[in-house]
Amino acid sequence: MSMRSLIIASIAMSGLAAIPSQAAPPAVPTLPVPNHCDQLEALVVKHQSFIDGKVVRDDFYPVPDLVKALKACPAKDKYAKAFDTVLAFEDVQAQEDGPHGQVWLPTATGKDIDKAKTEGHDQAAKAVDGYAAQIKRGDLDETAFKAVLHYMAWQSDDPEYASLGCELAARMYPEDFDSVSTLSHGLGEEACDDAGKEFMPKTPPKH
Amino acid sequence: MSTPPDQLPSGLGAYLLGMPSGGQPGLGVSLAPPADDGDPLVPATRAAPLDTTPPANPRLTDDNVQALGKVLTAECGPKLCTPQELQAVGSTVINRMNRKGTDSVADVIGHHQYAIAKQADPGLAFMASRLLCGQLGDNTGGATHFYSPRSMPMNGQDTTGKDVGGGLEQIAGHTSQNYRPGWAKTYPQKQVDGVRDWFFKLYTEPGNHL
Repeated sequence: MSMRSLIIASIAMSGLAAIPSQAAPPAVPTLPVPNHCDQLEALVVKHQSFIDGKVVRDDFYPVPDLVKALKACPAKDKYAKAFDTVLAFEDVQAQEDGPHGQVWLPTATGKDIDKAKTEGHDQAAKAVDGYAAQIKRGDLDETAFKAVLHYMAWQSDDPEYASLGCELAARMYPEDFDSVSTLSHGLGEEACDDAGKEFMPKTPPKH
Repeated sequence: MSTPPDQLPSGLGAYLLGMPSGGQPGLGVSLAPPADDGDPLVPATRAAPLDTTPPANPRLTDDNVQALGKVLTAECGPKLCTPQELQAVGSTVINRMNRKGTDSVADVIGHHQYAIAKQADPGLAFMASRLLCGQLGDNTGGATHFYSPRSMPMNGQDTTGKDVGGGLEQIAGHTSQNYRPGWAKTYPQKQVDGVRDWFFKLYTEPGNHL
């Protein structure tokens, strides 16, 4: 027997020759595979917990992580867009009262300071009007937008988020403000109260 | 993962009051006089009691508390700032008072150096009193100046009346470029725990004057 024949015979005896070229298909799972994107949507809308890998994500799934995850879900892009819109308002909100700190020149006048505040408030009002127009045109989904406002108030560990959700709710949906503000807590609760005092329409006193 | 709301400590209110999450006062001492236990061994006639009244703090005045409370409320407020950010802003006022050798807040916040156009939030007025009496210390290591990048004019916006001599900068994580004041080019920056760069950048004017 040649060396080649010996090698072939030993392979056949070891059973290695019986290995197919491709691995066998995996067993059919007995449980349905969770739809990550549907669960993300549920998290925004109903604040439900879900399993992400081995980590239970609860109501406090951090906003940046949630937005990143939603952007990987094309069918749920209305939520990612709503988050982007609300988060963009932070830049406008930051300038509503003019610059902070020692940044006014010695030559600055009271008029300069008043002008900066007026411009800041105008910009914020324009942004709010712009969001309403986007919703009217159908470019921004109103249900998703409202859900995001609630979610931001729920994210009250970061008062910045609570402030964004509550200010936009007070300015755009005063009738829904109570339902948003009740989700706020901790540092965010004060931020939300503050937004309500400043931006909720003032009701005339009852006679 | 964050803490559920029902397990949260009392938030900013607890911080301002110096309370840990359990709600106990953080002072650790009682300022109330001890109760008279009627000890029969104590003679009825006592020597003149020692005067244990602490010396009055010349900085702890109503005017100062209201003025610093207004600064904290207008520059930051409970709206968005962390307790450390509020403490840092207040510390710049105290550091200026120390440098100038004055006990008056009004002496260091004028000429548009600080925003004061809001009524003092009651919680922040209390924080102001703690800063003024030294119960809440300087967490900045001597900062005298700050600016808030998020509130500065952004690239292309009107800069009338504002010190933008430091040129444009870009804070990590933000797409827009903001201007910074001229002094930020030369004054040493102070990094402070719990203070976000996008909200406040703190600096110390060199020397010991203002």
